[in-house]
Amino acid sequence: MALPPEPLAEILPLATRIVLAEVLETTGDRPADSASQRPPIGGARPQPEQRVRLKVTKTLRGAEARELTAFKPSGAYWLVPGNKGPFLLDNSEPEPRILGRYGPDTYPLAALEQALSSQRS
Amino acid sequence: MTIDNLKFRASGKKVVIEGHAAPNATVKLENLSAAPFHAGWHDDAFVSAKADAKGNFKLVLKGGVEGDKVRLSLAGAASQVVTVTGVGTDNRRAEFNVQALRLSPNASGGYSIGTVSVDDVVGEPGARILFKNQRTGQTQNATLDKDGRFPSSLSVAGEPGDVITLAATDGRVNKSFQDTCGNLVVPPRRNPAGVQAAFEPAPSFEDKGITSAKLDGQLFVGGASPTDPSQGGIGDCYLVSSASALALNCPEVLQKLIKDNGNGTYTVTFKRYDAKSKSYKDDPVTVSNSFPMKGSDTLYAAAPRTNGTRELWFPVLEKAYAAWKGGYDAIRSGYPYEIFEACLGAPGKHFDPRVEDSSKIFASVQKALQAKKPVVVWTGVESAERSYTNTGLVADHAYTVLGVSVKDGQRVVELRNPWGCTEPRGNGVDDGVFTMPWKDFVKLYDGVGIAS
Repeated sequence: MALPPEPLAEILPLATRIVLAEVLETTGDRPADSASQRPPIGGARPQPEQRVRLKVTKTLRGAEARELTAFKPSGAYWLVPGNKGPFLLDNSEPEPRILGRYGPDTYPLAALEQALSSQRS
Repeated sequence: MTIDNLKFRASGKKVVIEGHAAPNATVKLENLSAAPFHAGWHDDAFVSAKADAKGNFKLVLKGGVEGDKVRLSLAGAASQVVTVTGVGTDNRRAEFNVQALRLSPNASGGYSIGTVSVDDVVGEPGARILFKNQRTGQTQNATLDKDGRFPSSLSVAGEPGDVITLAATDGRVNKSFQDTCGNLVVPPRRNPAGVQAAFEPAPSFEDKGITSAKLDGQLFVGGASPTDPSQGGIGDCYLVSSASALALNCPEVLQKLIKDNGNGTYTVTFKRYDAKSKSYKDDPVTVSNSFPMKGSDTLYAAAPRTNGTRELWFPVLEKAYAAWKGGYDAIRSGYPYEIFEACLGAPGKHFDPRVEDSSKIFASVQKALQAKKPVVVWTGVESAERSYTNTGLVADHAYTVLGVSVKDGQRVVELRNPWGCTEPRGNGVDDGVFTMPWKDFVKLYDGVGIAS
């Protein structure tokens, strides 16, 4: 994996909700470590999907809520309780899907706020 | 000086190996079955232990299984390869590194299969490899030797563009070549002057239907700089960070390596190890100035504009490396040592901060950078022990070492993310360049590669 984040301009239109949040709880099993079969750099298997409960501290776009349950698709990162940052979410059912290749690490908050601000103006 | 009285026993998910060597000797173990790439001293594939005053030693091999071939070595003595036995059932499938191979046209009209590196350990010792030309259906077999080395003088028939699919069997668990290892693409032949026709490497299979465009520009605008290479939509961080390290430490090598032919093509002269002469030989690859595009940007390596002029050296280098390896898919993951070897004609050194003395590694990095030797480091795979979310670092990713220093008694390393962005907080503008204390570095990084 280890691909660069998708351009923010590609992801932002898909994000119906953007929140600053902290992971409270996760479901989903991380595969047992297979250290002896590590591939060359950049070739690791994606981390499996998870369902995560988020405590929202600030809503930047979309409907406000104190807590949310979201779907983390299979990808290059893994979430544990305590992880935090900006979560971009789409309007998938039954749970919104977390957008961005690295979840809350995909885009710096400052870049997001700037992009949202320039869209508003 | 020998190693004897070896005993294996299972202990949970570990294999304990006890034996006898010289008093106080350091015994090193490399799990060839788990790390067939040799330079891949990852995780638990490489362990070491010191014998006591009586010469008794104990090595703990995490993840080892029945049937593993392990190489034991002592400093100053010949190594020996032994098989782990009596610890369970052998359920390991054959492992094979297709990226270590390449096809070269030979005088008899076919294509010789050779290794690209000085180290021709390419897979699990004793594994059998099947080569099948997808167009003609012709097959060819190879058997790796007891050290996992590839046999010499093996060739396949084919036409440029043919896809050769490789599958492996270890004869025990996967007996019918059901494990596909990857593909090789037959390259164009050279003309009588020894020049290979411009070769358009196939875009990644994920990018089928992508369009290409010819880009005008200069190879170098103001010389090669470590911030020039920027990773695009393919997982070749090891290549991008190595190119950045070369630009930082020896830009003259890049300017010698990559030539503008003045006709819309470029020739990159890689170094290929020739097992027969035991030396490196020039291996020129010519590519055109046409690049896969996504909108108005290049799909893979970025071709940034400097003062309005596109600088092309890195996209050209990446494209030529993809052509050399058989397509963009073939460069999807790899090791910095492959790039250093291909560009400098010498294999590099690798260190694992988890099992080797971190002070010695720091000193080695410092010495290397003073001597203008490129250094690249890489993080581990996301795991229960190492979680990367919120660290500002990316798992399974290579970074260029820009410098090391000691400030107020604290060792510090300066790194660059080859994306040109994404870094730990508190490092100013998000340009991918950041510093971190060495004590934190050794907790999150798995490997340090230094060019020779």
